Amino acid sequence: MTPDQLATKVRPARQGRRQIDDDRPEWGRREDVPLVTGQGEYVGDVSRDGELFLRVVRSPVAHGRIVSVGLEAARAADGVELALCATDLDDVPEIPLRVHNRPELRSYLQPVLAGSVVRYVGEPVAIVVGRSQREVEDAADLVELDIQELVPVVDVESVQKDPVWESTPDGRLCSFVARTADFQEAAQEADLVVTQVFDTARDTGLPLETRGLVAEWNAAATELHLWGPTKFVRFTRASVAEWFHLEPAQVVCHHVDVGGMFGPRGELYPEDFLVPLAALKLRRPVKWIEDRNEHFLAINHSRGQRHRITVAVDADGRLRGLKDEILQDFGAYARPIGGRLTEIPVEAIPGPYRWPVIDVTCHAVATNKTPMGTMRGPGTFDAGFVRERMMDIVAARLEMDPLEFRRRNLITAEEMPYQQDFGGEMHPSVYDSGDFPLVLDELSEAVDVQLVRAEIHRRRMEGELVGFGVGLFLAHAGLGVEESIKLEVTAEGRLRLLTAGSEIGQGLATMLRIVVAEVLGVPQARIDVVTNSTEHFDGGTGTFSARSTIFSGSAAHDAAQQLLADLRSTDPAADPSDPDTWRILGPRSVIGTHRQSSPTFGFGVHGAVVRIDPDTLAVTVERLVVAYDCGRAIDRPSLVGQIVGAAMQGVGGTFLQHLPFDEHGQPQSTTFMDYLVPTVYEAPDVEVVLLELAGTDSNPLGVKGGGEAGIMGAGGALANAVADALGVPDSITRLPIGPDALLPFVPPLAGQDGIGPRSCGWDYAKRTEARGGTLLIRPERHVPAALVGASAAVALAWWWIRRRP
Amino acid sequence: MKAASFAYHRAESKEEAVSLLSEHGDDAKVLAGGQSLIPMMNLRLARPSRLIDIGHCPELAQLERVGGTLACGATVRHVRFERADAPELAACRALSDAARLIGHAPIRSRGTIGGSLAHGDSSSEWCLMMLVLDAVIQAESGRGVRRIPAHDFFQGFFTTALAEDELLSAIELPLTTVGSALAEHSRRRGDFAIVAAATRLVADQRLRVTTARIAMGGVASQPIRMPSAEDVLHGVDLTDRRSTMEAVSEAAHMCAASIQVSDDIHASSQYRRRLASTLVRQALSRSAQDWRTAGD
Amino acid sequence: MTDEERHDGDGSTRLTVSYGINGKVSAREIDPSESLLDDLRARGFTGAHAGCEHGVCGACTVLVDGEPVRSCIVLSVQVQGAAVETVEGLGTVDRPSDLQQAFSQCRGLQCGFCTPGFLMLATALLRRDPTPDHEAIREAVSSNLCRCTGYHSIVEAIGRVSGTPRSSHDRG
Repeated sequence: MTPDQLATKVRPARQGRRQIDDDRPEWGRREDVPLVTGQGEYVGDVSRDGELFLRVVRSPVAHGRIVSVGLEAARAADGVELALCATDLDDVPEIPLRVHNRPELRSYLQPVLAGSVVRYVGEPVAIVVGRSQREVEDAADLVELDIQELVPVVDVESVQKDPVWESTPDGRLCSFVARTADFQEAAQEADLVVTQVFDTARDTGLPLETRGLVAEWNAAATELHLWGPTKFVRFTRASVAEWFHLEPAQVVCHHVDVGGMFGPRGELYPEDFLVPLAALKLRRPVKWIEDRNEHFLAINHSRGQRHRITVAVDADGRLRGLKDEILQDFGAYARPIGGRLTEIPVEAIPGPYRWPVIDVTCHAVATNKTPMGTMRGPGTFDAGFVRERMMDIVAARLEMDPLEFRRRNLITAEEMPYQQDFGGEMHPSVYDSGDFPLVLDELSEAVDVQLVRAEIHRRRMEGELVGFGVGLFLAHAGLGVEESIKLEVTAEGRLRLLTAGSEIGQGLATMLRIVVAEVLGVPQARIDVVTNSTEHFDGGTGTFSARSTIFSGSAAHDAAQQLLADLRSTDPAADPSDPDTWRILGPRSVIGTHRQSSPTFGFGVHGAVVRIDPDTLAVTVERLVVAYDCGRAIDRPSLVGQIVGAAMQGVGGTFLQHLPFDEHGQPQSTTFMDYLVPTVYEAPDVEVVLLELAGTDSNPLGVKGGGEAGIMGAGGALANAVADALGVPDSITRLPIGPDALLPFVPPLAGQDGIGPRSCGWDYAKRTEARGGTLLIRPERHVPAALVGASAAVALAWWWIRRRP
Repeated sequence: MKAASFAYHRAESKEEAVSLLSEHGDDAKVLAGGQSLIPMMNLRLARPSRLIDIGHCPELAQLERVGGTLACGATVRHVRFERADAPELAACRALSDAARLIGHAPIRSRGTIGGSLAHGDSSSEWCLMMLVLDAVIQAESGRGVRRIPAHDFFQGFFTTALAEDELLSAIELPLTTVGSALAEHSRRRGDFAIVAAATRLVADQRLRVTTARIAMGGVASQPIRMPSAEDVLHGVDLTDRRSTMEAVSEAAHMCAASIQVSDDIHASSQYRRRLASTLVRQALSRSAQDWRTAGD
Repeated sequence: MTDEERHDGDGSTRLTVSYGINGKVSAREIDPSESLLDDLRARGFTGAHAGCEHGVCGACTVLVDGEPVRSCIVLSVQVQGAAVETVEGLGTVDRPSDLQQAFSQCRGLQCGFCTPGFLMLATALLRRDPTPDHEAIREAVSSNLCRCTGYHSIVEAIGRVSGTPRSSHDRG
């Protein structure tokens, strides 16, 4: 999709915005120039004089007591300068928390090198440093690990025979509870109660560039220079500084290009201590580039939730209440994100609907697996899948059009701002603005739902397995409280923006240039942007949670306004678009800031059409449409790029990507032959409908988050489309959806063993009948006690509905 | 993820390669295109102490007609089959079709037929095609040339009949591949097949099947023939679509029923069986259709 | 005879490998285990990237004798005497090629890590077939992974250079 052909809905309020184009029309973005000519400077391209290479020796077992770490052979190997393990350190620091929403998690921090216990495959146990990458790999193979194995905890519901943490035998490291009223009561008053269990498999953001870091100290060891991406630059510098007894200002983060972030990249990891440590001990620059194999073991995983969800509803389709018991596979240690991963699903599960009662809990369960962090749409993607699948399942029970069922319960524009309460123990969410029904209408119009359904009906008659589904989502963005940015006028009269935020391909620099150009009336060509660096300006917070336009953009807006005021007070008649104006004004700088304590909420809908090949069970995504209210699009092509790219990661997460473990806690997906990333053949041409609805006053630009919206409703929409294609509302309860998930629901091949020729055609009508097509709402209002939250809840709910007269 | 060190020998001729193997066979690996070997070395799943590079031996990269067979050098790259880049390949459309299914273009531009066969992956397109084409694999050593029929060549998990000192030097193929087909399925196009099926039907002038071959990949530790299912097709009149379809279905069903498969992260055994049935049917139908088209 | 006494390619553990890079002959002494990717990067051509080092992602794609190869699973010793082309040879910051500009114009890149590989695939395709249809472009880029763009803009960038009409399936 090209920007000019983009289907865009613009509210009148936003029309007439002056677009100032860069003066180099041959380029889409100025930042592209080095990247397409092979001049990018990713961390792997950084080469320092005298550099040495570091290899991390990782635990091969999921759970065990370390008896000994034998480093003699490694130390004696060719080219090796240093080999050490935890016992060689006076003090083994831990990876600290950045989010402090659950202080008890401080008891479960990860030491930078395992001391007495290893808790997951891939946990750092030792390092080897030497003169070439190959030699340190050779030497790492010589490290002798004597580990006495313990029983690993792999499943969130299994008994912790050898607990991951002895201090916490049940493995529940923290919990969040949101209870606004008695759900039982609501359920008893409802006409229908449905329970289902859903799972989302472990996955990760998977940037195409693996992690890496180069560290170098100055001669006096008073300054540490780092080359490597940061997500939360302020936290990274503060943590590294504390480890080495420095002030944050003594830790300088140099510019590198970043080969994708997507949540896990740029977080604080054990290597952020180990690499500078080696550089300090050896007084040489040390370079560490992770290989793909260890990337799968060592980078933060994400997703990994089990939901036992119950929805109570009236016969007319009005929602009565929501109950959800969520178990978050937490992995072995608390990572910097703290309890946020446990909190988000609770906040996200209600979504854009009105729930008179909610009763949601989420427990973080320790397992002997890689620790968890965020990936694009953390918690929201999972919750969206669960909630939107449930909406379809309930609609089917009610024999109601799934779109109509949703419309009846959508929060309306008149109800904004809408407060979603979470009871006494959690802060409410305030949906600041939006027109959810309008966005749903726009999606329906873009998809042409009526036509699509007619077409699906026709194709089913011809034996095809096709289906349509939607997924609605709320995109909370705008976390991190504050951001600052420096805007300079140079001696030559150029403008220069300096930020510690990261250009990660999302278009940060272009967006900032547009914002400043717009305020000042200066051509973009005269504005330079320096990102990913603390060398020139070391304020600022970081790059995460789709916050860059909201925070960095608003801070740039503030800076530009300060500068304009400065100019006006000096020379009220000056023409800002004239380069001489700024040269005459002379060098100066301002610091722009933006503060915002609560997030802003974007809203969107995914619509999907899928086809299942009845022979191979391959699923083809024929259409994937995203309608999203972004508040305002500063740089439309970049925003569309973010939405399309995120949607594709949603396709991957729905059908292909997962990180399974066997019963011994051994990761089963450690190469690109096992972990399947969508290729062009799996990629639908994502259609984007951007809505720029005015309303949020959380920031001066009127923008909402953009980086994660494209993925948030994708899982729900695609899974609903698959279930629709199968003609079985309850069929899909797990992501990703592989062929084996479809197998029980597709027409069997003929023959008793189901492997003969396939019977022709596929009678959807018959299947609907078999699923209780003549559903009536149960007259008496009584919910069996065993139903709510029961482990075999699906079967029970089914039995309950079927046994009615 | 760097390959461990090794001693490197570049053979400039087949003779030199054979003699290097005689000398170092016990600790050497032959490097042809390297598209299977080098990833395994990078992942350190393979750590040969010596490599004998046969990529610079011109006589191993030749395709020529020798009597009634097509002699194909070990280092002929997949891309040459894909593009039918030699007059000798004009009657071998099935080889082009099979080559096109191997990985992706950047793999096909380096990978070689001999390398694939010596690697012996269970779902390898070439291994399956060799089985159904009754190819003969030439193994050359200081002791002479051994001609190994394909059905004796694949002996187990990544294990072939090649002795340590033997060089897979050439493959003898029939001059025409009419009636041959390969069908496979993977989650993404270009990946290793979850299940693959190659078939070949040879028919007489009245289009009655005289020989049938079915080979399956991804269902055992090595590529395997399915002799009992092949028998079902003998004597079938390919001009009679109905009886052909019945025989094809029965053969497909027998294949699916007889394979011993287990679950892994990519697929359950039940799904593999279903694919086996589907793919054998697809391949056999194309084999049959090929004769009908040829007969038109 | 010990290994040290042998000449290049005769059981050596060090040897000099020379080949053309973007039209200029380059020679370097290497360990034979070095991949073409690592060797190219050591020779200063860092445009090709290591994304997986097991031959799946394609971020390391370069051309050898005009054909795209994955340089992480080709040993440098294998390309002795060959002509290697990398992204650095396609155009420069001051004189970019149409293809490089089209990638930027169509937003065929975000983080740019995979981009050199895609540019090399496209270069090989357009040389062999200057007017590929939509499907041929898709097939040509199907070997490589991009985690940012969703591919459509990459296909479009190549189509812009070749003048390939958008497929009827496109909905913009």
